[in-house]
Amino acid sequence: MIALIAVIVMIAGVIFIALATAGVIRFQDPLQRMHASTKAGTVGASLCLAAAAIAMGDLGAVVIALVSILFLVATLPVAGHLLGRAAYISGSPLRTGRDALKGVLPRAKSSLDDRTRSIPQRVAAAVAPAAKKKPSGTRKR
Amino acid sequence: MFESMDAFLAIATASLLVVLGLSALGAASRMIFGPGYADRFVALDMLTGVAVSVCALTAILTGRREFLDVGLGVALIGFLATIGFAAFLEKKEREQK
Repeated sequence: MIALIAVIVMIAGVIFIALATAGVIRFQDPLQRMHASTKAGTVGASLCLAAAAIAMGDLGAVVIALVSILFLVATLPVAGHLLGRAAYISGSPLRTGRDALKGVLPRAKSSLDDRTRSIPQRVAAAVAPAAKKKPSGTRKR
Repeated sequence: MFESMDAFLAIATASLLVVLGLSALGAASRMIFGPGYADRFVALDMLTGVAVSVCALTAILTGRREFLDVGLGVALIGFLATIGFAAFLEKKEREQK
């Protein structure tokens, strides 16, 4: 009976994890993907830990599983908030067309990938004159 | 159908571990092919959740309590990694100005 309850809870948790992963794969911009991964991922992992607590049953396992669930529930919203804020500020693309945080947070004009794409050329351009002047001194910036 | 409840639990856990492995592969593909840095960091967050679930199911499958400790450690390290990468994303922008 206990095994049956544990398996049901486990199946629910794995379904949540699988749906969260499907959202991470299928959604279009980083904020939508975060919406899938933080909430459904937290519930799925918590349900799997609860299943472990139910199936194992001894006091140590139950305490550790409850502490893990508490830790996940306390930290994943914080991590999601920080990551979403950083993604917005760094200018990652928004596919929905609306920008509710316009004027509230500073936002870069283009995404971080567009801004860092020219770094290899700039480094090469900065290194090339030094290499021409002093062939052995390319390590100097 | 099954010899005992333990065999039923073991078979169910093993098959669910396979599903979790497929989920981890999907999140890893988003991490590899993700178009931007933010996508990769979100995929890392997702992989942390999958890893904690794998630890819990492995604890059930083997009956060893230590895997739950491993899951707690993975959750802690994933939280710190996500915060570090978020700080990295914000700092890059401030240096550009």
